[in-house]
Amino acid sequence: MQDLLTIGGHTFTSRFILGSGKYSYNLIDSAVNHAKAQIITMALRRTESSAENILNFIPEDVTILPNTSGSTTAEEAVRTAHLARELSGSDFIKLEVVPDKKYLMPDNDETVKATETLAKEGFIVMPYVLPDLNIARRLVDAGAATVMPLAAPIGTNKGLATKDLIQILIDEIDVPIIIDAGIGRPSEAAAAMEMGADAIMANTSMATAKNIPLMAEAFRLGVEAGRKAYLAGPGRIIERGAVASSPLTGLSK
Amino acid sequence: MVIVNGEPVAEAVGLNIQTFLEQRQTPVDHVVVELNGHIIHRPEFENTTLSPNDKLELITFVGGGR
Repeated sequence: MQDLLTIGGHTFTSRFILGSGKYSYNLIDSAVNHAKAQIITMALRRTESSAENILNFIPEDVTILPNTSGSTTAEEAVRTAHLARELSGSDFIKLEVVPDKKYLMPDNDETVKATETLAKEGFIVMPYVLPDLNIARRLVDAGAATVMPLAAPIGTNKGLATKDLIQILIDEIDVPIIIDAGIGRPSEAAAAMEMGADAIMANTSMATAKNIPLMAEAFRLGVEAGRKAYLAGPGRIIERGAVASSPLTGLSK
Repeated sequence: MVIVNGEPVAEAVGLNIQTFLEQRQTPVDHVVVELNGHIIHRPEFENTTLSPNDKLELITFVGGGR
């Protein structure tokens, strides 16, 4: 049976989502063709006549996931979501409410408020949060399609700093848990997927690699390896002693 | 003056949004227009004329995220 990721009734075979904050043709091409990304996030900003539009880089079969970055309150995020829907023609919205400029920490309470409003308006809301079980439950009650906890602050490549808190969300929350920030290496993507995360989102880790296409492929393999390991069910751990793996009888002396 | 993305633009007064975007060489398919806080849908661009003191926001997708 095919292993699909379902978000708001839409299905995807890929569990790697690309952020496009640091983008180039090479990065988008690598993410789509080597990392097999089917979802790419984008931000909304005022037009600049000189800039080439990012949409010209995006293959048609890729789902655009607009974000509300730049929003510092629920009200601003709702406005940005409305603009995004008009532009993309789709209901997907990656909800980000980030008043803090130093650590880029999301405001969980404002995020819940915006989720309530947007879900009622028919958006497929994918909120970015600091991993917290109570907030995640409130998000689900408010109609969130996923919960997207940060692994480490945005753009840091620091890996699974919030690992234990993310594990609680994976164990207790029924909507997809998508790891949203901080994943710096394919091994960390694999570890998160092996824990039971439903997908990984990354950008900086690929964009700042020396060989982008090769790193994109490494991320695909990492995500796939972790997913298969999760589905397979990792073997048990023996806390003390050892278990012989060769026969203890029939030894030649 | 019409305030376009925060900047005063005198020559925008009296133009409809469609014409204004074409003169600015803004790709119509890639822009969302907000006039005085309200989104203007694409089919309404030709029927919406810009008036003095209007506040026009022209928004598009840019690279963004992680």
